[in-house]
Amino acid sequence: MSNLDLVFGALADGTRRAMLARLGEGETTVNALVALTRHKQPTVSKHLKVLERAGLVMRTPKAQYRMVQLNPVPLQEAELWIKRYASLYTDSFDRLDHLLQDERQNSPIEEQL
Amino acid sequence: MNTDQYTFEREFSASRERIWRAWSTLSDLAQWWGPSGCTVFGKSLEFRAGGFFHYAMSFGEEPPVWGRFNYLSIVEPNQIAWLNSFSNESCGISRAPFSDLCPLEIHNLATFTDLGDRTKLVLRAEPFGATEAEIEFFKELCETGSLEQGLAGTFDKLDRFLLDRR
Repeated sequence: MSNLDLVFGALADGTRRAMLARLGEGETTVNALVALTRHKQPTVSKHLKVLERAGLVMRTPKAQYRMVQLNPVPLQEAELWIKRYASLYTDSFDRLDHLLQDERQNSPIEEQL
Repeated sequence: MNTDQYTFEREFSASRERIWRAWSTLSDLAQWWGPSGCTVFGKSLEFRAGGFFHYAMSFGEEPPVWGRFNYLSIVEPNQIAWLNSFSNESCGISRAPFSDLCPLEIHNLATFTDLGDRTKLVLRAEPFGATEAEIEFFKELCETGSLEQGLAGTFDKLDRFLLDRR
């Protein structure tokens, strides 16, 4: 499995996306994520492991709390690819539309509307 | 309703004959097919059932990403069915360059309706021969393009996160 597969796999779950969204606002504690997701701590830890394996989060011991931090680099790489292909159809049809419009404007026998 | 299926509807201000030409000639196809921000080089087109449209997508300086249409059926002037996938330089099928979770092939059915000086296109797209995980990936991909949720929402938050740290 490539790293991007791990990233896409991690992103394919609503709870993990909610956790990432929260981490996007700044580092937080595991307890705060437990409160946010309303899952039990072992479930949250499992989700965190998936995110960690994909390189999306880092855990740092700070005082007596274990802080969780977002690492945006793998997300950026995934985003680049997804954003390219996500609107393939609408982007293509926009271009087709322009191609046809240019042709109408450049055609001397076309009626002026 | 089958939720793995996506339908795109669009009206074009051109005759059905003109639209058909845009879908059936190499020079036209290369001008409009493909993601925005890429230049498409149309390598070959055999516009018949069993034939292929083989093209390269270039994003700036990066090496090109190849793709292909494998035509299943063509009913002139109102319907084209094909399997779309990534490919290699020799038109052999290949996985998406970014993830093995992306379905290998997407089945597309385009139907053109003659409205006089306008033409209505209905395009239905769905993963072909995909696993459960690949179907999920395709759903996310389609929804990222249209809805403010799922991956799109995550990426919007990422963009704000990065902006805040500039």
